[in-house]
Amino acid sequence: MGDFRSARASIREALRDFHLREYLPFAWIMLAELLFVHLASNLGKPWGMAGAGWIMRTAGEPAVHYPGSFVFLISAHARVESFLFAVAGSFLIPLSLARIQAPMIGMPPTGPETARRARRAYPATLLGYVINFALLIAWEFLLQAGPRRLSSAFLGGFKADLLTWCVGVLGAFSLAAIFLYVPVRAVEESSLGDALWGGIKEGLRLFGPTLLIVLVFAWPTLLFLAPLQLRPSLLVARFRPELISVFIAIAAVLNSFVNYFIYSAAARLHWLSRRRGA
Amino acid sequence: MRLLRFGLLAVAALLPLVSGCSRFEGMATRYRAERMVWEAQREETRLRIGKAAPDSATMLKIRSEYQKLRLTFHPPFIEGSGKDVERLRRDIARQVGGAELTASRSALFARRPDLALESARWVASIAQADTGLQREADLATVMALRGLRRNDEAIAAMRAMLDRYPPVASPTPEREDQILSIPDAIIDVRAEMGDSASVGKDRAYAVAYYRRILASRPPAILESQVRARLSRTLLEMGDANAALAEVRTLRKVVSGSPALKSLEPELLYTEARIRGMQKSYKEALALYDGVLKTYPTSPFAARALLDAAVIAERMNDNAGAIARYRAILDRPKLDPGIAPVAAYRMAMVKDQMGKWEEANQILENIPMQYPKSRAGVEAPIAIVEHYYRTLQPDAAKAALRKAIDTYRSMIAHDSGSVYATAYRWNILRAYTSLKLWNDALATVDQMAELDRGAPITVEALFQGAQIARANGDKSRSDVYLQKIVMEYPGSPRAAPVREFLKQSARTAAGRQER
Repeated sequence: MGDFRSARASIREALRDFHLREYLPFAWIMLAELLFVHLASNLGKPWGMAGAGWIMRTAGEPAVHYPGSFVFLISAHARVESFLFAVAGSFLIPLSLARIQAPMIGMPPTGPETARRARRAYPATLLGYVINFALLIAWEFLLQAGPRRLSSAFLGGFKADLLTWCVGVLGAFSLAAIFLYVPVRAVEESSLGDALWGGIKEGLRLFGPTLLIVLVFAWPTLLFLAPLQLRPSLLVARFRPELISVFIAIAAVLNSFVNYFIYSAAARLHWLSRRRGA
Repeated sequence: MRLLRFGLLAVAALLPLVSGCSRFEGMATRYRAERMVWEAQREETRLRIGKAAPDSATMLKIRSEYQKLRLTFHPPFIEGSGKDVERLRRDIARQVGGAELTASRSALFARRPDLALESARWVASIAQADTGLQREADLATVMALRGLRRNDEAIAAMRAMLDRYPPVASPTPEREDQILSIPDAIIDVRAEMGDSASVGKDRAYAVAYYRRILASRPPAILESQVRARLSRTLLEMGDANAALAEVRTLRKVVSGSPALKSLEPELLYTEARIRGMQKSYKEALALYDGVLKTYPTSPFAARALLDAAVIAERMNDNAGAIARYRAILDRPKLDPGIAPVAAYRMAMVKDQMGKWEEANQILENIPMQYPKSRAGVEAPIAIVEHYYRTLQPDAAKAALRKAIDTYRSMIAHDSGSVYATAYRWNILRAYTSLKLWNDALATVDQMAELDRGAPITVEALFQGAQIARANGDKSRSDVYLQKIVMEYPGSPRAAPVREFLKQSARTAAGRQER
């Protein structure tokens, strides 16, 4: 019960103590995502095709044709996002966490020491992300094999799709909650094994409060992700295909802030639980 | 952090360089073309909302939407060379050409075959080595030439297509390469032109064409489709034995391949028709009944009923014939090619049986129920003929006036109908019978203008010339006769009319000398 109270306090504090310099690493990832979405939305221009066409094409030849490109943009953006979070995020997320934690341990938020702590956290964060990603793929597979079939059989149509999507999102959030403390611990002076396994253990121990943090911050993004993931063809056929890139851009901007606030609140919860433990 | 900034700047600097590459330029151009097609389709949907049959102005608006591609993208569409660039160039040509062919179809629906022809010829000019697009362009050219009533040119274009594009085997027997329907289309055009001598020649040409394909040992599905068409054409030529031989070979092909099972109703039907031609009526009726019982939902079921009804008529089984015609008209899904014929023939049988009231009611309904049919053209005249036959001149005159009104309303309903010429011709016949000479001549003038090129227009002009001469208007008569000579030099009327005009000129000159 005390952990949930701490989680609520962490959420409030994260919202109140927003600092641009702490958020900036997430902004870099967001800018890269927006650049990709802009390029992919301008495949009719040679620079758009040169910039995003080759990434889109990894989803198949229809991804570089109109209007199919916008349907494929959803999965292409997810791939780009995953890549950015794995490669750049493994440095930028710890950098943001180091800046958030700096006042708590009496250090300047910017400076060579903060950057060193972030660099040191890179392998553990990357490994944690890769494991999380692999589990996420396995979860998606299980979802299609199990709950999806059941809901299709009993509900059918849109209701079944919505239920499967909700279950899928809840599963993805739960996995994210478990791995959330890997970079938090990696930024601290701990070994790779301690950061990884210790982070996962902490994630499991604080599972309920952490999931609460994730859900509190993530719901606005879901409002834009739901139509994209549930009925992309409807957006293309009934409205305009370009609407998909607008929704993705909004979701990317929201997601950037959401991720920052989640990590900020999780770092505070970690700090509070450690202090209580001490 | 510095590294990330450097990376983003490097990407931004590289993009303009990479985007200069002709492959990316080509892919971007193709993408823009696809977007423009999508926009045109969206606009077409918007324009068509609430209009079951859009008017000419709407169709021309739709055409202009699709024409935007042609106006935006110019051949060769992209610079550069190489396999990839060539492939992209072909893709773009397909997009632009496809849109222009849609513009051509829209122009045709807007009753502007001249614009349709220009579009089709432009697509043919950009198709180059793309056989698919070239074929589509050729088909559009044929449609436009038909719209312009340049039937001889249309037939020449269709024959050139038969030489240029060998038929392709389809994955299923239900789907057939369009090229296989061209020999029949040529025969239909000739029949519409009223050129019965050429119909025979074209049937022989079709038979030779089908046999040429069969000689090249095509795959089973294509072979079955060609043999089915060959047996039908042989049957239409009256060569029942050759048709039967083809049906037997076809049966062997079908029995050897389970994928061809769907051809069985057609086989049974064709066999029944052959028996009918050989006057083995009982056997034919049994086979037609077999089609109906075994394959009641097949499109051949309605045809089997119609042919069986005709045989029943020949066997003086009027009740059997009427029962079958009624069965055709009671089918849940009416066949637009069969139902009007069934209704017309049922009326004729009822008339023969002395049930004129019932027959009259059916005949009066046909033009309303089946306006796009030959029966719709013939039904009002059939009523007139009944009254003449039963010596009721006043009723015949009233029926003639009613027929004129019916034809006029049908023209007003669809002035671009393929039967509009036949309606006007029947109006002319009705006015002539009613001795309303001025109205008759006005109809001749209309036909000369609106039905230019149609074979029946020659007859209208000739009849107009006779009426004008009989009414003392020699100059008007000569105008009609000169039109025959000038505009229809190939018609059977042209030579005697030319001779008549020469003689008439000589007589006039002789009179002047005297």
